[in-house]
Amino acid sequence: MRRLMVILLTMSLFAATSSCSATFKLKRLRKENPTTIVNLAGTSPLHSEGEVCDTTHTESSDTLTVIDPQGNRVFFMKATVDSTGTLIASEELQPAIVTAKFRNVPERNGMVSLDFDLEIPDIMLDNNWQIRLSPILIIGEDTTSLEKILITGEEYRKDLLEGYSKYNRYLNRIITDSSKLIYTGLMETFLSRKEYYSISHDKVREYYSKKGAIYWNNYLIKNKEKKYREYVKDTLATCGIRLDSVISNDKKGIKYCYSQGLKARRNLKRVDLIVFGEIVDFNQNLLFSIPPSSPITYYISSFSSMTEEIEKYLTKVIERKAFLNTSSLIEFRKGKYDVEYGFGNNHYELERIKGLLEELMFDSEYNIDSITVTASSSPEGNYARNKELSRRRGEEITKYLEIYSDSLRAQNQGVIINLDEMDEYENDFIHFKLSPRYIAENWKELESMIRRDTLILKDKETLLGICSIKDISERKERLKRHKEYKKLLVNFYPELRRVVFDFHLHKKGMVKDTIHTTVIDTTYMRGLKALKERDYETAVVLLGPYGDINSALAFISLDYNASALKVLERLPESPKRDYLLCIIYSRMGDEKSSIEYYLKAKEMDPSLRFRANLDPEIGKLINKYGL
Amino acid sequence: MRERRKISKRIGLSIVMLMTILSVSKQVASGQIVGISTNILDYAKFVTMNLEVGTAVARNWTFSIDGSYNPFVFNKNDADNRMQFKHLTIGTGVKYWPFYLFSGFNFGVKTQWSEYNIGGITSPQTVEGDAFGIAISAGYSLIISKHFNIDFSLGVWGGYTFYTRYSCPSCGDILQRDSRWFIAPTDIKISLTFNI
Repeated sequence: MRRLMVILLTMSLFAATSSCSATFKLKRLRKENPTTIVNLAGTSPLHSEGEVCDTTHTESSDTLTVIDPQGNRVFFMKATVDSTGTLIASEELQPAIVTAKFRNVPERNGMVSLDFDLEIPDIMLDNNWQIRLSPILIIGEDTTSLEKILITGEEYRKDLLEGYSKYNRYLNRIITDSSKLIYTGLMETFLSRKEYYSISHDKVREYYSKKGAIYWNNYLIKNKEKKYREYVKDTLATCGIRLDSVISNDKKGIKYCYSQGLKARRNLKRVDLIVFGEIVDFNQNLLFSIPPSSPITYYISSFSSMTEEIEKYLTKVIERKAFLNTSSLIEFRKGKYDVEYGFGNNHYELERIKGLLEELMFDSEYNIDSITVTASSSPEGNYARNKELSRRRGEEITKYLEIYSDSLRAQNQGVIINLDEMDEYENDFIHFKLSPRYIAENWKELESMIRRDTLILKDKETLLGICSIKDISERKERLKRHKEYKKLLVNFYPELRRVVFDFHLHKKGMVKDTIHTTVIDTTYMRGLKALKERDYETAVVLLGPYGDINSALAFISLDYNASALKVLERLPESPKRDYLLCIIYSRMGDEKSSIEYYLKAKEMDPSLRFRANLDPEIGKLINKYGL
Repeated sequence: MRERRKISKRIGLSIVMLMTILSVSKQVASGQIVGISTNILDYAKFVTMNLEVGTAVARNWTFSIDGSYNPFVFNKNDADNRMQFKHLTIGTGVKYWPFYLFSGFNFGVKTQWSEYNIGGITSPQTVEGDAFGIAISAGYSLIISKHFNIDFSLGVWGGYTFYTRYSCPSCGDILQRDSRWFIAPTDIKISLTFNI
């Protein structure tokens, strides 16, 4: 009896302690309020407990409060004399020491690698709990959660798996095979009988189904959800979790090295990291909310800070075909169409035209494509005759010029003037076309001359009205009768008997011409913008064809080293260019060239020494060779 | 009087049997469903021979004719222990089968005529007479195999009977000659049915 009592007592004590231990632990947790320690990867843990900002002692220890005999409070403080001689109370402030953890990380290939160590103190570990840690990145105003870390206690995990198996057993009780819910033997015997009166198969089925079993099965199915919630309190998560480890009984703290790659985005300069966490028990009750860790800051450096703001302008390519025309008044005798050198002003005009032709034929810049000669007559007399006259006159002038140009050619056949453009010169100047044209009666020109005139004619409207009459002979009759006809005859008609020469030229050797405009090249601007915003894919596409330092930067940022090298080699020497070359050679493994270029760049621009701290390619070389 | 009754009885019986056999065979020949059953329990009732023939009328209805005949007298020569339960019962009726005929539950209504001579079982008094009435019954038919069923049923009938009561099975002392209404159980069956 007594023995039984003793055994019972010990057992109850044991039970009590084992359940007490959990609550005891919780109490300790709540009192001490530990937090997960987050450190930069590779650094030793800071013994920062004592160095954390201590704000409780800002009150100076120099102030003394005394109550004098009258009962008033008197304050005694330290005092100093300032420059003007007045006594001023001074207080000594304790310095507040704030330790912040930060690190410079380079961005390469559009990705940044953030590494940090998580330390979980052993006080948080227990077999019945699960610790959930969620690291959060703060970028500007966005917060991104990283994959969680779960530290599960052994008992917790056991309960979890048992919950799953319980639920599985429940599911197995549900009958899914519908043939088990019918009295199949009886039904088959019934169906084998001769069916003289038809009965539907469904009715037979329904008659022979095990109604009780079906009812019970449906009840089980209905309660599936409830049972799930009851048995499976927590799930074995497979995604969104970085680590899910089970702790065993040796209660040492846990340290985990977390590495996260972050894709580069616009204006990514600084990233803060804080780790939040909570401890839950198997029933998903929140036991303890771990206070957030002190933040770590990552400062991100990339090549896009080295972009140069260059403005590029568009170049337009235009075709240049020159066109020259001149008109000359070559006088013909009335009714005649021969070209008479000595008649009137002809010699002057003809010399002018011949000189122009000669000039153009031997021009170094231009070649003649064709020459169009248009002859016209003044509108007096018979229309048909005028037409014939204009035609013959045009032909005569053309013939005259042809003879002249042939003679020029014959003169210059053997002489080569330009040595470099020899071939083109000979070919082009030989063949051009001389085409004669004619306008029988140049009414159009007459009309425009009348319109333009301001001095001579007074009655322009009537004259213009006459000119617009459809019937030409009537036009002429009416004009003749007009009182200003004489003025027309004297002042305007001679000018209508003229020949117009149209010279069609093109620039020798070059049909296209490049002109630099003042229109800003928006593609280049967009490429620069993409580069600055770290959108490297777009930047490479947009800036690639330009082949200047910004395109080299775009190539380097995406690790297209060979393209970058090609571009940089063509550029003139500059500290930035040398620095970039150094980076490329370091990536390709050519340490010697890399260091050479680095030293050259540093000589030209000593501030690049500080930039070198941010780029690991050159940083490792500096450490290795102690530059 | 008795002689005439006997002859007419015999003729009636044979007509009924012939008709039954004919109709049954006709139906069987034309492919209809017929069920022929015999009640096992009745054989326990002083060896009554019985037969029931039912044919399908519709999917849920059958029409049946049943008859039972007991001519046996036990201990005929022993005047003190002579027992008899002689009767001839013929009935015709319909049965309603809620699910399908010749399977499952059934409810029946029939008209029944019976002439009997019962005596010597509980007391030497013997009753002889005719009864005519209507019976209702309920039963369950269990399918065993393709052609056999086992029928269970219970029924009760009521009607009018003319009877003569004698003082002993083989003597002629008339104690009572009367007619009255009656209610009695019938159709208590566990029978084996053969279905075609």
